[in-house]
Amino acid sequence: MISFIKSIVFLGPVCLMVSLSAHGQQGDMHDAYNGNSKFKRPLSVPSNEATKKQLALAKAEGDAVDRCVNWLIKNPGEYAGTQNAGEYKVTWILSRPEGWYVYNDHRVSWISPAHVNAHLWLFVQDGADHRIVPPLDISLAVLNSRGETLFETKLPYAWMPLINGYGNNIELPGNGDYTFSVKINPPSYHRHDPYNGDRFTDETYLQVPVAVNLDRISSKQPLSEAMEKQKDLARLAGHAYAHTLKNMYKQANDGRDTVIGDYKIAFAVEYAEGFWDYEHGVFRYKVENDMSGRTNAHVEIAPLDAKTGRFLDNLNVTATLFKKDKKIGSMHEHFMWHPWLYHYGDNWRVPSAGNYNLQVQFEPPAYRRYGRTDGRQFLLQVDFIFNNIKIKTGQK
Amino acid sequence: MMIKRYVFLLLPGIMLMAAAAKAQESFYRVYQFETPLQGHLGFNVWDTYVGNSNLSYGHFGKDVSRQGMLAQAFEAEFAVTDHFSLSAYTNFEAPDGSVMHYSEARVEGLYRFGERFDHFVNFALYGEYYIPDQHYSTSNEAELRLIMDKDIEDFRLVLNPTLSKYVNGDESKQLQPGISAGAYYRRLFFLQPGVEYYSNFYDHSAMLFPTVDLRFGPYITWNLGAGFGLNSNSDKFTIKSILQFDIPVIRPSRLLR
Repeated sequence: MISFIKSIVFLGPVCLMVSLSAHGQQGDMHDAYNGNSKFKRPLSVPSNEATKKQLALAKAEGDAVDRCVNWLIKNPGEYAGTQNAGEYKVTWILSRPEGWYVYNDHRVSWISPAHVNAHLWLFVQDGADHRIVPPLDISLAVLNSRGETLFETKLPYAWMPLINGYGNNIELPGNGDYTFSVKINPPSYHRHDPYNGDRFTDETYLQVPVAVNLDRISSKQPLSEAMEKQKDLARLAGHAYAHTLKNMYKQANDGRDTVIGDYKIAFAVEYAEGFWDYEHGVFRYKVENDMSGRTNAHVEIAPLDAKTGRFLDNLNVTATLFKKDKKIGSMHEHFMWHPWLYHYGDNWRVPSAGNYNLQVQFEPPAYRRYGRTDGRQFLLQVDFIFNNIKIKTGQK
Repeated sequence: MMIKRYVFLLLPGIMLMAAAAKAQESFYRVYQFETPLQGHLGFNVWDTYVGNSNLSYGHFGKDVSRQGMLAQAFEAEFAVTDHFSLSAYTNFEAPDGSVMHYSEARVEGLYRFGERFDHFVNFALYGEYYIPDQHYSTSNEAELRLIMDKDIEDFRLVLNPTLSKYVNGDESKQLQPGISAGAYYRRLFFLQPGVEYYSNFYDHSAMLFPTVDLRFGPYITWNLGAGFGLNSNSDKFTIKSILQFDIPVIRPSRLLR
């Protein structure tokens, strides 16, 4: 009996140290704000969360985005290009200064460009399936021909009439050679899928040299106005997403959608599932979500732009579950990167399998909206209840 | 002539010892449907202590009591794919008052079919091959185990029908059917009580283990159990411990690219 205890006591700490030393995975670091990050195609492999067919649906959405990107870079007269960097496919466009709507307290107001002579656009796609990558933190440094930094700024994420991306007006000192130096920070959002979710963990750098003629830029119409005319093109990615959503309804234990004003709101409920998360700076797949009944359901919500069907990023979505009239709980649903269907979601603990009511609430998106006509939308907050949703309990 | 007589005298004893050696398991585990994530390395330390037993068994040619026996195994498991893992074991044994001796090596493979919730019951297949130290036993053994698993709310039910057979050497080549089953309450993460049942239909042994899984974070699980013999062919009281370490050694983006 004593040797039984001894053997456990002796081996326990040894194995504990081995286990702890390997328990986390840190993203690779890049120490220079220059150079181009080497292209590293992200994973796109069948897994317990994505079949080949479902990955193909994501690719179809990416193909739709590609068609929009191709239209953008072929738009005559614009300075534009596409290059792969890190795990991304990045498209840049230098065009005439832009105006945009800013949202405040259920109203939008138009901000006209002032004291600027160009606008830099950036569209960032997943290097594997070419879907638009959900919002990233992107910094821009503009360098002159001598390599001196003229100024630095952020490129904020925005809703755009064709595909969503990043952009800002800039003031260039005159015609000449410039380098747009872009830094993309790794996003901190959760990522589903133990395999495909291991992506976007490195800082990414991109250098774009451009010989600029400001007269050429100012002679063009604002790119957002040209985008607004491409209604059919703007719906392609949304159509692909809607097709994918139907596939999710088939897989999920329940799911449906409704249209409220400018929004289409979809939900799906599944079994609780794991995801990648940054914990104390370490990026790791949280296997513990599957290891107990601590959580037993996964509630997913997808707010979409009703006109184009495109997914709306950066919302503060709150879900509340009711069993009959009794409130079970309320949760802020985080954005979840998913190998084939972006959504907001979280794992829940519900008392048992059965029928519930799901209340979905969110405020309008706070980000800029481009397009003098199309950008004037998303003014109302949403508070909607899906009745009789069927929840089954378990862990994937 | 004298040698032949000794052989005739010893043969029934050797056969009895062989049967006794298999009369009770040294290690107890109800195998689960889940396999580790691809690229994960598992390292498990198994310990069994027989606290009270009237049975005896063959230990390197000697017939010794099982009471006070300590068995220990070290297992390394690697998840080759998301659905398939391979393991290698080394087993050690010490009858009461003796030092630990290496007794046998084992290799096993576990393949699970589909994903959880694909079917009403989840299925996996487990195969194991025992290669004993030649002084411990002359017979290699193959074992095949079906794993059936079903979650009902916070309970997990697992059934392992098993067939084993000695493939060479002196042991009986008869098929040995058995069954092990487990029911676990999984509501909490850090502590999961359960009950496990083990029965070998060949030697008519049956054990019941109240168990508990203690979790020290996501990568370390300690399975403890106190086993009670349900008939005279079983050890009366046994303690088991399995310390499990799951180590993500290869990052998916590097493994699968």
